[in-house]
Amino acid sequence: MAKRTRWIPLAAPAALFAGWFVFTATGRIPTYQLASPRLVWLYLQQLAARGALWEHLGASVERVLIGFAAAFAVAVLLGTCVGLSRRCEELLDPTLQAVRAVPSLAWVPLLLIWLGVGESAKIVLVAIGAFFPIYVNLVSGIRGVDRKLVEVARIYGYDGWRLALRVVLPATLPSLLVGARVGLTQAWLFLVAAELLASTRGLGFLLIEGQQTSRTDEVLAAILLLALCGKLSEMGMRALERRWLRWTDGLAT
Amino acid sequence: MKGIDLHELTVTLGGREVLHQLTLSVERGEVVSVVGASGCGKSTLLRAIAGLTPIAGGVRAVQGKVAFVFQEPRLLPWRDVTANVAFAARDDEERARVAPLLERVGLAAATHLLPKQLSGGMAQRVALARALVRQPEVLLLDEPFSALDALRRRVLQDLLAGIVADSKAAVVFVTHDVDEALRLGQRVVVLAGSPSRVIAEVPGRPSNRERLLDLLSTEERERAEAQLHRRAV
Ligand SMILES: Nc1ncnc2c1ncn2[C@@H]1O[C@H](COP(=O)(O)OP(=O)(O)OP(=O)(O)O)[C@@H](O)[C@H]1O
Ligand SMILES: [Mg+2]
Repeated sequence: MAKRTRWIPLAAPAALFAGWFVFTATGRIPTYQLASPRLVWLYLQQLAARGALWEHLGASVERVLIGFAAAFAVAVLLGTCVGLSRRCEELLDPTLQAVRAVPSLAWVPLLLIWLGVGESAKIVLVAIGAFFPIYVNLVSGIRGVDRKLVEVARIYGYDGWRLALRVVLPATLPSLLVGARVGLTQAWLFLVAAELLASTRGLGFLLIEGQQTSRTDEVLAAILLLALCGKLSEMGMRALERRWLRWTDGLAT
Repeated sequence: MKGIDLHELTVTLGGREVLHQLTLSVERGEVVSVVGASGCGKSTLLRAIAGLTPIAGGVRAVQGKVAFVFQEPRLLPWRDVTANVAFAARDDEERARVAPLLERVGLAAATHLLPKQLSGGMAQRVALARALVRQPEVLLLDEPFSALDALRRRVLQDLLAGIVADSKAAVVFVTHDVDEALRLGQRVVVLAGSPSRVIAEVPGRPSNRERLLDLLSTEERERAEAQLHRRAV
């Protein structure tokens, strides 16, 4: 990207922020409906001073990371089986597709009944959200592996695990990484849903607490933190893609 | 010693017979060139020898390590040139051949490039080096020099001839170039017909050039006539 266009992605957020600043500075709008940027900033400082900022942020990040990691592991395992073996596909795929068709939040009552309001219910919900994008992308990636490369590998004596590891996995990496990026976004989405329903810590908890006490500074602070976390996750995943997919010959590279 | 022995080999693809009762044998240390019109089944023949395409009839006997240079380079896009050649190596001895081979095919300066950074001819040479790394006993080459300039082509033809003479591989060399076929092959086999079979076999001497061209153009003319006839009916 040329240097002069670097500011373009920042233009819209800056305009939004300026609008917010000007709008609240007129004093026309009561704080309980929209807090000013200054109040949000003060709230964040106060939260940090109490040590509560890290507690809430840490709780959310932890849930996302554990849930995402679990989803990733299971999705890679099942996706590899389904992608490589017809029998596994017949056995698992119809069921998984049916489960996928259920709006994921429909699991919430069951999770709460089974697992209570503790950490595990939230982590499982996050994992459910992250699982399907990874699984679906991985399976279609494996299906799309160039048969010609597999033939080359067979000629040179590769089969079984060696074939999977040396040829199928690298060829599938682009789809797997796309799945992981979307999955991580989904993980944040489901985290908020879980925390809104039942929690005493976390960014979703701040949202609910702010709503119940009509503290728009608290709500907006939580939204800003969520936006930041989402953006950072996305940037991290894209950096991995750039690093590991330098070999691809697509439009982007 | 026989490297490749095909007896009345028949191959069917998508319900259509592509090769019909084709008989061909290649000794170790011998190069057999295969020529024929585009789409006549040359690649199919190589795939059948390599066991990549199932055979519908006949007998196929292939002895020893097989290496295949496909019509397209088929490099692993995530590996650089060196790693692509080393992909075919199974032990340290074979890995030690990678660098010298890359030098011999004229790619010593390109070892760290990715496939997407290679020209067509460079990629073909990587594929050739990959096939030679394991010193195959059966070497199947599908137009390996089609993207090379005349000079490079000469150099690699000589390299290949030398390697075959040393390694005693049975080589099937598919090409569109009549001169190349005669230069490299001890025998030149002409495939034609629908389904294809061996219509002629010519000793690989430069003096046979006219005869080979005649065979190919006769066949081409007959094909065109048959097509016209079919359209008229
Ligand atoms: N997978 C396939 N299914 C059905 N038909 C096929 C398949 N692969 C090849 N064919 C047919 O088999 C015939 C022979 O193809 P082949 O690739 O062997 O030709 P070729 O002699 O190598 O041609 P060229 O010189 O253009 O490379 C063609 O008519 C092609 O349409
Ligand atoms: Mg061909």
